[in-house]
Amino acid sequence: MTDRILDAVDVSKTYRSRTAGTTHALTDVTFGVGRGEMVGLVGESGSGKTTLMRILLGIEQPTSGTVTFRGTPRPTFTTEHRRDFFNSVSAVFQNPYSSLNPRRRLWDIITERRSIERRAGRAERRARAAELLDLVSLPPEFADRFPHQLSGGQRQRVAIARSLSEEPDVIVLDEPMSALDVSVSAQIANLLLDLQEKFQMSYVFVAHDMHMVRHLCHRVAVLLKGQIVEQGTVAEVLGNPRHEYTRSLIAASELRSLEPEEERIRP
Amino acid sequence: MLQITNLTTHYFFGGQVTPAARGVTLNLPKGSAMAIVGESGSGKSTVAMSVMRMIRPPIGDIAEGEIRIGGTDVTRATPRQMRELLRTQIGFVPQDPTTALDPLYTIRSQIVEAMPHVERARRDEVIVELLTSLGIVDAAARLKQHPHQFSGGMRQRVAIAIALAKEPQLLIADEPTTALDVTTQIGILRLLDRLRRERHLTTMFITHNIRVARLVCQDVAVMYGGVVVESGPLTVVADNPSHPYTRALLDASSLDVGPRQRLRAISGSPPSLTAMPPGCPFAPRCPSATDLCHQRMPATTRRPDGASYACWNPVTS
Amino acid sequence: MTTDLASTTPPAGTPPARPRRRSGRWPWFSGTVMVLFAFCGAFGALVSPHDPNKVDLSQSLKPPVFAGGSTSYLLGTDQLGRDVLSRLLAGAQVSFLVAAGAVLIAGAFGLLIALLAGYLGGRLDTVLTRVADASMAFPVVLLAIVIVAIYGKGVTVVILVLVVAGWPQYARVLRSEVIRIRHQDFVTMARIMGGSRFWAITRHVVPNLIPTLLVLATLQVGLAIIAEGSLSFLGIGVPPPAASWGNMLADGRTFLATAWWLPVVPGVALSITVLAANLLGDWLRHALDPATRR
Repeated sequence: MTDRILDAVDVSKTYRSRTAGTTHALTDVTFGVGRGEMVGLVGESGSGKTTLMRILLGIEQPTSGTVTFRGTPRPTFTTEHRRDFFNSVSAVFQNPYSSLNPRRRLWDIITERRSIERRAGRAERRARAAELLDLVSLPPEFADRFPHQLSGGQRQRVAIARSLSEEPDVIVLDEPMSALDVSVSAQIANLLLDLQEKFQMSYVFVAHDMHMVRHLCHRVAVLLKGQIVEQGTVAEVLGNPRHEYTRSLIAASELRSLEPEEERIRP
Repeated sequence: MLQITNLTTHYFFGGQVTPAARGVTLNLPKGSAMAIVGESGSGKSTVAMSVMRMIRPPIGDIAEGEIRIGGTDVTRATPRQMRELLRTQIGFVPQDPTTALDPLYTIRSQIVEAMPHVERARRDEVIVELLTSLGIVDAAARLKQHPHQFSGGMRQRVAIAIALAKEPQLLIADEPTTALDVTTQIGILRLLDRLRRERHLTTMFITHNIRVARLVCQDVAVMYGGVVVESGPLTVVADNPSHPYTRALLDASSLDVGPRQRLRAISGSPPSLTAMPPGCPFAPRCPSATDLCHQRMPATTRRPDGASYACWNPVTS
Repeated sequence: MTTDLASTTPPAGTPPARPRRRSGRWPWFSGTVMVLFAFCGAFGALVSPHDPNKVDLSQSLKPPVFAGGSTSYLLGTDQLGRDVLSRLLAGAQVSFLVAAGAVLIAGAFGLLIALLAGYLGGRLDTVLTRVADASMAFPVVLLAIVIVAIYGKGVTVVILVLVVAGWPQYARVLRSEVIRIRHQDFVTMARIMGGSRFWAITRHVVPNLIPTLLVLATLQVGLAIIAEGSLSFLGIGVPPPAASWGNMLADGRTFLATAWWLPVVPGVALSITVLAANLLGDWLRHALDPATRR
């Protein structure tokens, strides 16, 4: 029980809208991450992976089912739980251009959590920011810069530094490399591995293909139309996929050939 | 079919002249597909935009070189000739199908716009045939639909249909699958490959992903910092690269790395257009760079197997 | 670590910084005009050469000094012999009060409504948007007549009219900006880090609204000055004999052929001030944006 960090249990999410009627974004999904584990969550657009991610992070509420944090269901959180949750669960988003407030300096961005908590003064926050910049291999003079002065890869390092600020137990990574150049995305992958070895935190790695999941993760869950169609260790799922969709996803991710010459048409 | 010789294109940023492509020479024979592989800022899109003469003052201009499409030198074409060329010979597939289609107009009217030469009565028939061949089922019923009623992959097929409606000689595809899901991507790649074979379409395929390029292209030009660092038949270059950047790019996207092993990343980040090193643009990140590399840009060397590279200290395997 | 120190070169791919227009140095023209305008608004009465309302029919319709008039009436006199320069200074005070008051109050109110509608959303958004639409559809002149009928004429009433007519503009434009910013990842991140709505609004949304707010406000400064003029021109603004640029224009229009300076002087003052307000806003927007400053 104590080894579990963040779990979604039997989570469903439906959206109602006047124009599109009822959409089932997620149906009875059980997915979670244990201590020190790196879990991939793979699905294409519309699969519900973003919804599941947002539910895990607590920025959306499930229609049914619960999210538990260290075994405690979210709805029963006390103030103490909530604080622990905010310090222990963090995230890095896909687009490093929209995840940093353009009007704040980097030291301020990186230590925002401490500012929210009002438990650290400016000097202390700046000191922490310097440590964090060092962890992600950015020079200390970056502390006083603004986001627009950085490249995409550097911004993503800043976003990672921010996620490390309170030494979290789990970081939800939403395709953190997909907006980056090939040569830079390998650097970020290596940085994530280095940091995991150093701090032993867990990762939930959200992705739209198997490429990085194969490389980084211990376990993987494949999401299709709001349901998990396959879940297991990376070796099991990628070595011996049982669901047809997983197979096509693996083939499409590997880009080994254009065969088979059948065109899958979806409306 | 498409011959680019010693192309140099400048951008004019804030009163400064910034070269975005320097001395680019490429040759695309009829019916072949060439990949222009590079990262952002490598100049790959600049080359494509130069071919279509989309870079004009005050944004930038072609400073030097020649671009021949069929018999015409694009760099000397009048705006009128250029419009004619774009209307009849060059098809363009953009990166983002969501912004490439005008949400206000039906699919039909957007395709019709690209086929003024087809007589009115036959238009619907031709469009349906085209859309069907691109894998859109029940195309006749979908003509009156608007872009928002199509999925991302389907929109990209419509964008391809617009590019093909004029029956072009040359197809320029700028990262056509980057915004798509992987299973959709493979479908579009198959489609582009089939079109090239069936229609003898000369294709210029711009991508940052050399693994995608391998599936649809015969030739490759690897660009970095505005110059072509290596080019030639794709299999030759990919199996036996001479330039350290090509090597590094292949390594960084390799599948043969064990679980949780470190990837062979390239340190640093690509150079800025405004602060280009005087010598080889890759020198600051290159593991085998010498003083010479930092000072002078290497000339292009041809290999016996048809590949060529621009490097002072080529990789030997 | 296998990852290397990221180089400090500027990013590739992103275009180099835009040319910095007007951002580096103090904008002399617009800055000076606005300072002068504010000064006249506050202390105009102290430097005024004559009593702006003193009638002296023996001195009526004297031309300005540069058109052959005397130095004691630098900008000439009107049909009642009142000093045009003194009236211009007194009018500046009215225009300044009206512009500052209308822009500040309408801007603050519009911003508040935009934040409520755009950030909280839902039914509140629908209601507030409808209210804003309805107020925009209501003709300003009719509104002014109604308010004047209730409260009588005066500077505060002009401000009230402009606030009631102006806030929906701020609310509508800012609301869509709030919605856009609210969906940026840094706002979502703030929530993930436990930031309250108040935190997200004050730290993330409002600072990023500043450029839009400034553009709107400077456009509205110009509009407010002109609107005050129009209302006074129609006789429902600042009541005579008090001077305002608007009623100076209104009174002077019949003398365009015989005493051209009467409409031209307040007209030029109004145009220069409105132009300066717009230029200053443009400069401020650049100066406050981290991406274009320095």
